[in-house]
Amino acid sequence: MRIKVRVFGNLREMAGAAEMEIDLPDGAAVVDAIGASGLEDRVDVWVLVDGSRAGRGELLRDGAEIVFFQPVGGG
Amino acid sequence: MKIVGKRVERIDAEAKATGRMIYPSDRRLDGMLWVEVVRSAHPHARILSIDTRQAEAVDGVVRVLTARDVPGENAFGIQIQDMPVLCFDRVRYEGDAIALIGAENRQAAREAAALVQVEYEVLEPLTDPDEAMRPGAVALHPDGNILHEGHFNKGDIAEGFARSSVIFENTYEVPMMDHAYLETEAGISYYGEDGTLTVESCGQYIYRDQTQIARALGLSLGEVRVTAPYVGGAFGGKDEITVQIYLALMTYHTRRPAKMVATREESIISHTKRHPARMRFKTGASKSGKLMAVEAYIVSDTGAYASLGGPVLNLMMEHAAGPYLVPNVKVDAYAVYTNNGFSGAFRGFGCTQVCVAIESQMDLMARALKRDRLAFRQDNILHQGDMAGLDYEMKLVVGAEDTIRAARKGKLWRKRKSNRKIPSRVSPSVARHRKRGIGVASQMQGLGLGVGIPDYAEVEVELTRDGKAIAKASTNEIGQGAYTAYAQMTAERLGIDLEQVEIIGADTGVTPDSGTTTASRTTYAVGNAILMTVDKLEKRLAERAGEKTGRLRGGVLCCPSRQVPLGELIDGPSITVRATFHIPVQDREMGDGLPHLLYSYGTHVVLVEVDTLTGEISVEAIEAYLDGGRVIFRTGFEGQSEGGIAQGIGYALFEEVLLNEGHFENTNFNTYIIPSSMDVPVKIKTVPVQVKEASGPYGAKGISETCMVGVTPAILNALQDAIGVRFLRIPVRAEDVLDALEVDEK
Repeated sequence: MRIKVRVFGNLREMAGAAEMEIDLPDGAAVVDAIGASGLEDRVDVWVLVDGSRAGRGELLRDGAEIVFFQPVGGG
Repeated sequence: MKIVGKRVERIDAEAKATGRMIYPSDRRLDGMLWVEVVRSAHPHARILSIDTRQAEAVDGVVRVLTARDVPGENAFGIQIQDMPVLCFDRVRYEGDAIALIGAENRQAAREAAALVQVEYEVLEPLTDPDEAMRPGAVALHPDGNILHEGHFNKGDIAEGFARSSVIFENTYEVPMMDHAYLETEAGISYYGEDGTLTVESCGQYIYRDQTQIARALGLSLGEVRVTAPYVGGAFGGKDEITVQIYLALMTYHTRRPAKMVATREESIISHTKRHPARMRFKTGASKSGKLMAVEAYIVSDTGAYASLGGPVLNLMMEHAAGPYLVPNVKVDAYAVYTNNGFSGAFRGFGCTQVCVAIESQMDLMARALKRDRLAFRQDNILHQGDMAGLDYEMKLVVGAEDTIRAARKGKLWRKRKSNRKIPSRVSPSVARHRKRGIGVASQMQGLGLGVGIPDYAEVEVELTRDGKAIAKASTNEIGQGAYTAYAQMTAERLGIDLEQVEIIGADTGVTPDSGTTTASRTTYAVGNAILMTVDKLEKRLAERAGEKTGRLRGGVLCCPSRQVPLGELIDGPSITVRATFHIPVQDREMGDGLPHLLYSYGTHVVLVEVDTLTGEISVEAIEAYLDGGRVIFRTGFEGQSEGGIAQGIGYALFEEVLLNEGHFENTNFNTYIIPSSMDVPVKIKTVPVQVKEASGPYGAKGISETCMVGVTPAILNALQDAIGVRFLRIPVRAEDVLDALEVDEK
């Protein structure tokens, strides 16, 4: 399945891109997408799947949009 | 609207007034240890050795922890993890944590803390950010002393000044300011029955605190639970980690509950501050009163660690040209590491600082052009579709002009000539030494985290068979009235009474991630999420009823052809649904959180009286014209305005954290002076200018920062009006007034 990935902030350097598409096998979960995006699986790598916070074990569907970001703040 | 917009009773009022409300500092558990932090005696030093043996020998001491006891990453920080949990080789500010004591009682913990022997090689502190920026300065961090810098250019600044008939250039200095929340940093930690390490504390983003704790302890997120529903004030000072990791560490190592309550002295020394800054502003306007150029050079002292120094600087740049249409803008700004405490989030978040400068400059130009000071602002104000200072479009409706128009109609401005007269009740011998003046300031404030950072709120609503609703959000009630506003929106949307709504907040084990309680965002973000959640509930219930649509009203689903009681549609006691709202952002990314899409606006009008014999300044009256979209909780809105006014008066006239070579000098409220009830005017008028925001819940946005930011420059402008002196440095104290008048006389 094909997943759209968006990466924010400092994670872009690690991933090498702000946006990409990755191919994952059926039945893949969020944790698989982290590695496939070139990111280290750390507690401070947060994940949104289709707009909502998702845990590492959440299964992905074809066409899902994943956002990786770190919980920084702003004002 | 039946409930939204009304002056309802706060849902937490009775519990707070009767003392039933349990704040983090109130919590007690059997067997808990008291935690004390051993902090650096020096603003800058190498640590040569740490000897805890004497401390460990104190009767009642259970455990002493140092850096080697941090099982995960010995570092924290919202944006950059450059702050050690426990220092082991170097301290960078007087407050850096070095060891933790866990003892059976607080006395023993304090006694032991004083006995931890730290051998230092004292280093020269870097206390001037300009010095810290120079090549060759001692580097406080591996990448040098400039945490962040930004440079923006729009148009042709030289051409802008060439076309200006009035030009003013001034350097403004704004101080380090303390949040001065009533409840100092506090919390309790323990292992819950399910084995999760639980921290009940005061942080403004429990999910991020959970991550920071887990990272430091080498745990997974699921092993840490954080709660912080009711907090005794924050203003941004509890956005960064404070006590949470210390508590978690002590419980992790001892398997016992642990409690910590910072003293006021410790609080002032150890938590983030408002960034002090030096800002050189040069502005020009044409003979016809049109702004031509704004040039700003800003140096922000971010102190020892990053915290949110980068994003604060970004907002300084974003708001440097104010809510005005300026064709030529040049901004150069630096956030610099020093050994002066450390600074971070604080109401206004950078806008507060630059507003002092730009609104002072606006007044100077208006006076030089002999223009009405409000009319001058109005003639240059931004409208929807205009390009803001840093050259991005103001895409949403802009209520700035509406606030100015409202201010012009207000009594203070309309009757400014007579308002400047000393009242006849004052005896002539006194009156001749008193002078009054009226000042104004307009401003805009970005809401939400801005572009480049996902900014969302997930909410859960549980609807019971008898029509009651429980709304869950992870944001805190820090005193701003947020939970009451959420309850109002939930009740209005469901067509039920306010008493039928319960709000459960800030618990990572129970409430979904609704984002930070900062950036004036929660009414807008959580409110929208609540409405989305109810939309989802209605859709689901309509499907169950076999209908295309249905509207929830008072415990009944109202469908086109019939009304269906909830009891027929809900299996079990209730139905629960979640939804996530994403705050819309600009499509142009100029930096972390830069720029915003959504803004609130305000204009303040202030009447001051100056006693020219004593220098004493009295704020006699303030009118606040505030556009936060539709007002949800009217009493809360007014409360925010009044509190913001008090804090703005503090910034203008009272508050300054004093540091001497990096050492804190005024660490309690007998020396760090905050306004009392005697210093805040009785005559406060808060006028909601409700320019409805189409994307907001019921048209609402937020107002928590705007209500403070314009107060300070309005006071400075009123002082010029009263005594003809332009103060470039705050706080303005009586002795500053007397010095200025003496110079004037000469």
